Amino acid sequence: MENLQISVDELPAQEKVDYKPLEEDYLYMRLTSRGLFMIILAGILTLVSFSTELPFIYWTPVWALLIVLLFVLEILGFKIKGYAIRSKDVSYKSGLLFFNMTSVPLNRIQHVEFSQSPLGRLFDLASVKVFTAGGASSDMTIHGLTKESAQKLRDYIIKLSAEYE
Amino acid sequence: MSSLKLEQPQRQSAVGVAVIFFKNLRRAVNFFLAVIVVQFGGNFKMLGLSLWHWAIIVGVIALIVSYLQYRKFFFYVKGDNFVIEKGVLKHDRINVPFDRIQTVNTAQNLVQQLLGVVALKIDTAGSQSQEIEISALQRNYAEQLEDFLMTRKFEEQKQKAAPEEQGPHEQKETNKPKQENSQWRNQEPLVRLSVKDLLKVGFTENHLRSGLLLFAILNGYIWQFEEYLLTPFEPYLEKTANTFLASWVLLLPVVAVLFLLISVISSLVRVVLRYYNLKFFLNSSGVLMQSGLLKRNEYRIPHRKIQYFRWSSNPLRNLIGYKTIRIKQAGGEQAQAQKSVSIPGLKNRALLTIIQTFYPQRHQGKFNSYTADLLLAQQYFFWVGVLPALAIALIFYFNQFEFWFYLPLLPFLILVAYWVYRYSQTVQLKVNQRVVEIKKGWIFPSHVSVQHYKLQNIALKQSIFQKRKNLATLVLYTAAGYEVMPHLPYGVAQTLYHYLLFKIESTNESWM
Repeated sequence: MENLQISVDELPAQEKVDYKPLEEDYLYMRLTSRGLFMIILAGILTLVSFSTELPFIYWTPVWALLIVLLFVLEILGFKIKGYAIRSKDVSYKSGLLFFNMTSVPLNRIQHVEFSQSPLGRLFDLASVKVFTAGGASSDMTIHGLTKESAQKLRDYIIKLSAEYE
Repeated sequence: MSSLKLEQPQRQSAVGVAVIFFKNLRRAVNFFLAVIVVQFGGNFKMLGLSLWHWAIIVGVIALIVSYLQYRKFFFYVKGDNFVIEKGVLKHDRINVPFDRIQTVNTAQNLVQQLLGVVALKIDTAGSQSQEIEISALQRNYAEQLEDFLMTRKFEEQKQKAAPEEQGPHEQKETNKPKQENSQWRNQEPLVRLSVKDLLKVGFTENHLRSGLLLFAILNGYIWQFEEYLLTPFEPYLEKTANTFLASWVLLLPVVAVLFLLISVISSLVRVVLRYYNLKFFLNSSGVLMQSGLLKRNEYRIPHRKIQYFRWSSNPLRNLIGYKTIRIKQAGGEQAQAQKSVSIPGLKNRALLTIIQTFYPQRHQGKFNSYTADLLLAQQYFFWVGVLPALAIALIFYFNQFEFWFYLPLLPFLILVAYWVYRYSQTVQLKVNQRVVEIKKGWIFPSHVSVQHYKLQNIALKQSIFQKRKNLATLVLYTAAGYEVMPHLPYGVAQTLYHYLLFKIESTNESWM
């Protein structure tokens, strides 16, 4: 019932959320993942080229262009990715072509999960997944944390959000 | 509880055997459907027995199984749990803690209506979709059981919330929900649809949607029997396909009229089946809706489970002053489709009553409103107009059709351009200190209103196209799905983002 008098214009500018960048290793992990995908694609196309009449010159330039494009987007996009923990919410932002910024208030968090992909194990990286009651599309994942800081972050978010139950 | 005798294991009503039997029979028929359709009338023989013999054998087995299932089905109360025991070969015991019960609904299919019994369905918190259903109870008994379960649920939850306040003097308090629940029975419904209302609703349905829905369902069924149904006609189909393509401009109106006719009939049937004898009750504990012809459903939604409402209309409905309201209740995304309850044929007064009951503070404070940028119209024009037109033009080009085939594309594009322009003009977000509302739609206007404290989280999205024009899209997530407001000025989107976050974070009202 409080706060009724505050109107949109009078609101304190909270826009200065200090987003922390992700671990730089996460960029290399993403590049590795993209690279592996492109190598597998090249392998399949090579097999096709050998078994049919498809000349290499038909797809190699497109493939090269695609891998350059993917890498450039990945490198430029990495600077945009970041997360922020404030006393009352958790935020994550990402996306070069399609920017997306989400904030989950701590009093709306259902549970928090730590997860690590096979590639993540190689780079010693992990992610923290924050679940709300809003369904799968509203769940938030913070990528690119070291395993240790991911576990710490998970415990911290759990501790903060538990105060609201 | 005394009249329910739940201390001892109870069986369902004796006619439950028949209900279970028909349920099993339907399962068997569904299972053998392909065989029946294909072999019907033919000389089907298996192990020297004909189709009829097999039908009798399956029927007898189903009857025996049903009787055993009935005998082995018990429900009772043990401590803080409602317990259901069932299973002929495998013994199952389902424990439902009272405080885990979300809603209790009743339903009646045709068999249950003829036998005068109802099914009771218990919906629990938790994602596992274990079916908790008692198939056949006398209506009287079911209503008492429903009230009993809801009362116990509230008592349990209250005890959990305030354990130190337990005492004999609290007895009066805990009786309150029970009284409210019983009130449903003698209360006058807020909305009641007569047959006349039903016909009006049926004729003013969105027929295009009904038609497409029917088409989709038929499509799904037909492909199951594709080999048997379509193979004999294949040569003709090829021929007609060619002539059809050649004269599509001439045939289009005929097809459209036929489609419309079928669509209208299908909407009417759907509306009557679903909303026959609809009764909608509203009081401080929540809402209750009963409806249906062959299958009568009763939905009861506690006040707190309701997350928000969407009310919508169409030109025909608007003409006779009818609106449709959809109740969005909390639950997983998959459950949304089955769980969302909608009431058609709502007069403006009834709508106003509902809105005033659930949004008592809706008009506290002035609304600030923001509209979507024209980029919305441009994008829709591209996806709905230019792209399909281009695809069709390409098909014509590769088939070397004559010039006049392309002509209908021009009015199509103009029509789409006009529609998307008018549509984009209607997209609007309104916000004040208590609620945030989104209005959309020119021909089919819809209106959503969400109280700030029901919001879960907020997202701000910006594509490169939006970045050039300094726009952003705002997504509001709730426990009952999300709502999108596209193409706001970036500054506005950002202010709203932080304002709504602030509102969620500073509230301690329980959203569920």
